[in-house]
Amino acid sequence: MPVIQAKQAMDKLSRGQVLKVIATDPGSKADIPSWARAAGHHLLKAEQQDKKFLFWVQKGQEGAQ
Amino acid sequence: MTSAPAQLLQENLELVTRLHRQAHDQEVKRVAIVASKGSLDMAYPALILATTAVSMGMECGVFFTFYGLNILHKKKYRSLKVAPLANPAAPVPVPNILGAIPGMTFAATTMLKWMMRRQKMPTIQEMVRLSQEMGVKLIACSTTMGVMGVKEEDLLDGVDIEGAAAFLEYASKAHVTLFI
Repeated sequence: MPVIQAKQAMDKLSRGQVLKVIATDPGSKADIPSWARAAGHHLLKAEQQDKKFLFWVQKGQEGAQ
Repeated sequence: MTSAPAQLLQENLELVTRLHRQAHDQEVKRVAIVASKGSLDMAYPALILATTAVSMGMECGVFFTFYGLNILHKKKYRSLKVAPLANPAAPVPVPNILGAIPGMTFAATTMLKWMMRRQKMPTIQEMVRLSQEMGVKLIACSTTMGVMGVKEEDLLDGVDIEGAAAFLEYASKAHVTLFI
C-alpha cells in the first residue's frame, strides 16, 4: 500500500522538504503521481530501477495530506 | 460588433465561470462508500479505497450495511471468511461439488490470508484501525443492527450509527459514491 505509507511519511515533513519513495508495487507507477497531484504535492522525478519504482515528491502547502 | 454593456456582461460571465471552476477544483473531494458484504475478499476493497482516499486529501465515509456490518463487529471482524463455493473468480477455482466439502471455506480463507501476507497487506483488524486513525468516518447501519440483533456494545468504539437517510444525505454531497 505505497500511497498510504507515503502519506504517513509525508505527514512528518514540512513544506518544501522532499520525500523519496521506493516502491515495488507496479501500481505505484500511476498511484504515486495521482496521490501527489491530489494531495497538493509536486512530483520532482520518477525513475524505475529493475523492479523498483523511485519517486521524489516535494511537500506542497501545509494542511495538504 | 458588441455594445459596451454586452461586452461587460460577457467578461463578468467569464470571470464567474473561472472562479466557479477554481472553487470546484479546490474543494475537498468526498468519497462515500457502501460496504454491504461481510466476506474477507469484499472487506478489503472498501477499506483500501477509504484509506487511500484520505491519503489523497479527500474525506471518506463508509456505510457498513447488511453483512458489511460484520467488519465493525468486535468479535466477527477477526474471523471474516471467504468461501470457494459458487466463487468462480477465486484465484484457485474449485468445482462447486468440491467447494461444499467441510473445510473448504477454511482452506480458501487461509489461502487468501496467505496471499495478503505475502504482499505485506495489513489484516482486516489493522485496516479498520488504520481507517479510524486516518479519520475515515465509519458508519454502522441502524436498520441492519435491528434486523441482525446487533447492539452498540457489539461494535468497535468510535463508530457512528446512522440510517439510510443520513448516509444518503452524506452521499448526496459526495464526488465519488461506491457500492461494494
